[in-house]
Amino acid sequence: MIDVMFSSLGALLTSPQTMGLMLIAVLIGLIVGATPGIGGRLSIALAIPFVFGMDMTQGAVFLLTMHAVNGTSGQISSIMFGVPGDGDDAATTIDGYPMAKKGEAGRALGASITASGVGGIIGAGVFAIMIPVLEPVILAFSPAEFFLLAILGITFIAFLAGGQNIFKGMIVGLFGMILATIGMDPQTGTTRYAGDYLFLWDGVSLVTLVLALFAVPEMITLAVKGGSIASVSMENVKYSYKQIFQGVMEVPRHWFLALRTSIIGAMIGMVPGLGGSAAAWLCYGHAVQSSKTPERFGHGAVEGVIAPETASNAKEGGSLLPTLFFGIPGSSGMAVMMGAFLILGIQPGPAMLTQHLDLVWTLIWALVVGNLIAVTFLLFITRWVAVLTFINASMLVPFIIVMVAIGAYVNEGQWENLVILVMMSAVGYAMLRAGWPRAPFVIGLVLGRIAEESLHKALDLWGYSFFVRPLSLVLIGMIIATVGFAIYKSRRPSVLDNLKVTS
Amino acid sequence: MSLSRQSMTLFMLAVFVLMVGVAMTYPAGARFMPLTVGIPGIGLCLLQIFLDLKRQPDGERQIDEMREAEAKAAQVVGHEVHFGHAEVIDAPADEKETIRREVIVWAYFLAFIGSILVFGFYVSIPVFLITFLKERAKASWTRAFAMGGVASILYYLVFAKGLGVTLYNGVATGWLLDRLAG
Repeated sequence: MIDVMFSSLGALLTSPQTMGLMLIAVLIGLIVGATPGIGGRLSIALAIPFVFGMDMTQGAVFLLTMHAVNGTSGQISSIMFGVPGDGDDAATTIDGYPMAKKGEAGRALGASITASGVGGIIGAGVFAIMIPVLEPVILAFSPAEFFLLAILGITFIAFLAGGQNIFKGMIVGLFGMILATIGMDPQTGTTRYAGDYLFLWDGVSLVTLVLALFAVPEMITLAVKGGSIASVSMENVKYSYKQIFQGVMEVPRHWFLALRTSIIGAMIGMVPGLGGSAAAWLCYGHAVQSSKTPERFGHGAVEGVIAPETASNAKEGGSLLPTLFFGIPGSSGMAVMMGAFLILGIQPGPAMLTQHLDLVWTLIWALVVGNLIAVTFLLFITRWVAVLTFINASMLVPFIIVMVAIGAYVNEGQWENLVILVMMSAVGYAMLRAGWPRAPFVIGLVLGRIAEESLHKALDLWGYSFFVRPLSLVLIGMIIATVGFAIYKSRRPSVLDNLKVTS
Repeated sequence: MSLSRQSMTLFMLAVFVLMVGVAMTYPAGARFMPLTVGIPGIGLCLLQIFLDLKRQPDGERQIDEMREAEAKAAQVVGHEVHFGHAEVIDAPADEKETIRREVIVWAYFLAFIGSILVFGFYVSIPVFLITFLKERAKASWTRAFAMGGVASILYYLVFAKGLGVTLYNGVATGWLLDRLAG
């Protein structure tokens, strides 16, 4: 394994084309992360048309790098203006914004950017360490276990949906799974739901469905609601490079905290469905609890910036593990990423260990190198990246809609996909308006195909007795426990009900 | 266009019922998966309808993500935390205005896709970009033409030239060009 590890690094660093693509991916990822209205999931979906024709490794490196650095620039508006972009960034805001208000914006930004990079690198390291540990388990899995793993992945949907939406999340996941059955049945060769429409015989285009469910509804909402813009002026947030350097040095000064929260973040990333904000919040809480002076938190404690940032970036490395080896996306972003991997010809599963270990290591190194490049860039260009927060996002809408239409078409070169795009966009927009979760759809769609394939293989090998194999029984137990826990979680009062503020 | 609580569930239920019904006509091996997924789907939809009917209207509440984050933060640090709020420019004043805008934006989107099907990407992209930028994003004509024109050229260079993708020409473009050529 050691030789593959170093040869992959050598191949990555000595390929000008791959390094060039990584640079482009880092720049796009940083810009997308800082621009309001465009999330990580959407950026991967929009980038898929660009990877057509690319080599499998280069395409995967491009997409993963772009996704991995999204969060690094996402916290700029949280710290500078107190406006969190999403749930992950909100934890950083608690101390980042008070630091900026005290005239320490540079220190907070330096610490958060460095912590983010360090988290990304340690997350990749944790993933790498887990490979030899999990190798025997992964290789022991047969189609029977992979079928049950797919079902387990779908039950994790309950966590993705969360709160009162657990059953809605499951319905949407099953909706994705049933749409995955459209096309030629792999077992009998029967065409299901496709009629005489030849373009449906290979199934509904994954890219088209992802774009329809995520990109179009978001863009229409953005165009309807108007552009959002931070309400404070850049002039109020002044800082020097000296301050940024002081912030950078805060991370080695709190190295043990950064290490702990990175490992926690990576571990959380490995549990599908827990999501990025869970990692950030848990590690913020850990920083508060482990501090000798917890009263400083919320008033501008730099540890309150370091902890959530390391955690939320470290989870990317962690969530790659179930995605690549078990075919269970660790998050909705990874679900879209997995769809992109399938399009590139990368089939997640044990074959990643036996046949594509070089690709796995290349992706790990891509996370490391990508984060290093992103941190270096961002430390110097933060001031200019921050300007993106002020972009009137509705100006971006037509350009993204054009990208969506091109993406839906070029995937299979079929004009009919544009009709599917319109129909499913209407469904996606209705789901958005009705407050239904959409992320489980992608997971159901991707896992549906894997589940059916594995089920047929398992039935051919063992008949229905595959359900009583020891490993199958463990997985069945996990499925039952997951569903039970999800229902229990949905019945607990929310944080708003529990809140007792002691101001 | 405000959706009632059950309309989405009813839509999902209809999809599952239809797909399960159609699946019954397939051979055993082919219908196994659609039934394995569709029947629990129907069950969950019915359960969701029951839950929606049981829930009191005043018990329903929209939790704002940022308000929830502020509450979480307050719980951890032990005092109130307030994040900044993005000022939304050109925000719709009420639900009626929101619906009006939704209809307009959907009309743009449908017209764009319809135009691609009829005239192809090369004609539709610049027309859509310039029109949208001028009318919806309130850009000046000069700016709309400049941005729309440059972006159209970039799309052409990246996809047609760079990636070698053949973009759809539309059903009418070829016919029109033939007619023009005599």
